[in-house]
Amino acid sequence: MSRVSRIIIALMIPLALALAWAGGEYRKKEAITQQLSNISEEISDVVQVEENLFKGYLDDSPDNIVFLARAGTPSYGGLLNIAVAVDLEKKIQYVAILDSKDTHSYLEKVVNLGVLEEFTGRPIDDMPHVDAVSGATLTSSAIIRGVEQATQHIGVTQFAMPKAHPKEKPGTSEYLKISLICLFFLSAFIITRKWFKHKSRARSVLLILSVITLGFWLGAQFSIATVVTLLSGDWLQGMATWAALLCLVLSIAAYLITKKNLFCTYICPFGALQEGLSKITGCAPPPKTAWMTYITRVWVFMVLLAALYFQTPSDAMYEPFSKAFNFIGSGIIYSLTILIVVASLMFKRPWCSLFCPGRPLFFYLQFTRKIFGKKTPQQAFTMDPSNSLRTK
Amino acid sequence: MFPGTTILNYVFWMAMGLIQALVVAGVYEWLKSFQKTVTWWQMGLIYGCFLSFCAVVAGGFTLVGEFESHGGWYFIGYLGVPHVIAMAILVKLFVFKKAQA
Repeated sequence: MSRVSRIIIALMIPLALALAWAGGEYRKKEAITQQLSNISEEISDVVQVEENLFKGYLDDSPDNIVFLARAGTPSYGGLLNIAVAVDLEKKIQYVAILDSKDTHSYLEKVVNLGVLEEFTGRPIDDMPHVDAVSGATLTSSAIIRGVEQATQHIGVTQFAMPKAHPKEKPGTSEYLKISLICLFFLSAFIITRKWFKHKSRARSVLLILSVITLGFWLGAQFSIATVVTLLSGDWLQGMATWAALLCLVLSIAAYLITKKNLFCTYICPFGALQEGLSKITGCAPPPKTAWMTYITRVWVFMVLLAALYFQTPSDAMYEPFSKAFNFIGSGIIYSLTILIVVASLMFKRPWCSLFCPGRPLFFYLQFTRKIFGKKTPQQAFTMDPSNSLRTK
Repeated sequence: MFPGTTILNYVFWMAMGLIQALVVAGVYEWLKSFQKTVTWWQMGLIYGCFLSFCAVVAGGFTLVGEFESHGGWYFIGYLGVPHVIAMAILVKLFVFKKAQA
């Protein structure tokens, strides 16, 4: 392939992704009023009063005025938008999730446990204390905060209620998470240095620690949804946790600086889990042909395009990480997780070699660096999975 | 297993026991042909793990039969996979062990 063709490909990919994102933004506009009208068939004639505040009528009756407020709170996948409808008696009539970038199974769990119903029928000056849902803490907390913010907006603007102070966010400290992730990358960087001895042993220790901390404890492994969040700029509106995004950014930065894929080789918890299992049987990486590589690349590109257009990063997530470490995910993801875990006893890192979206991502970075950067002998990059696992 | 009969259940489980005894004896002979020696307690552990795995599968399908298919599949998955991993570890340790110097 000529250099010109390579440059065109390297530029076309981000251009196509940017177009998909722009199309998604255009599609999203003017949809808010429609969304609010769809909260209930009983609500009609919704008009905007001010920013994030709307007015409508219940049962088409001009006497039954209902105020609708919209609030966005940072959640796991980005901003989670909540709408609340309050009548003239200050009672909450409806609570609805307008849109969310969180994983559907987490949202389902929170909704099925009746978190939204806890608020309906309650007066806004006597709000119930609703606890976060264990196992979906970030999502449920974002919903609760969203409802509180939206009701407060209506209370302050329409019923002259005093403004309350926001509550502290629950969960593990973000500083702790960020520090731990930085420590992992720093350790991986040190291990790759020429002067460092016992590379193999240190790598094994780092991978085991990664499974425990980044995998089971923090759930900080980045997925294709994190890539979508990064590209779409959703993180600018705030995130409930920055752990996965930081992992992705540091992985890219480390790859561009060191020319080594530190995350996949030294940190990835799911990769570590697979490698640990393959150690039991001492199996080799699965055979991989060119068409498998291209199918993965095309698949990841299409998924990114769709997720950017529909503005739903969580729908793009097809990885088994959340199921493997947090036991949350759809039935299909569950089957895939079981399959990959069992396959890890027969092949070394089957997910990493055949399906992981991280591999095409790092390949694209390498591809563009090769075109636009200086050529060095170290830039030799192969799709052989065993190659990326070398610790030398 | 066989509702409405008095004897078939007993016959079935006696046949199953006989088959299991043949399986264990067969594994011994099969391993011997590959010059692999496994002691009785090692074989006991491997077989115990296999038996436990069978119980997990039976338990899972019992749940499926009780119209708890969601729970059944999760029961098999979350308990069955650790059994498969444990069996792989036991086979690695006891069957494919390194030859002693």
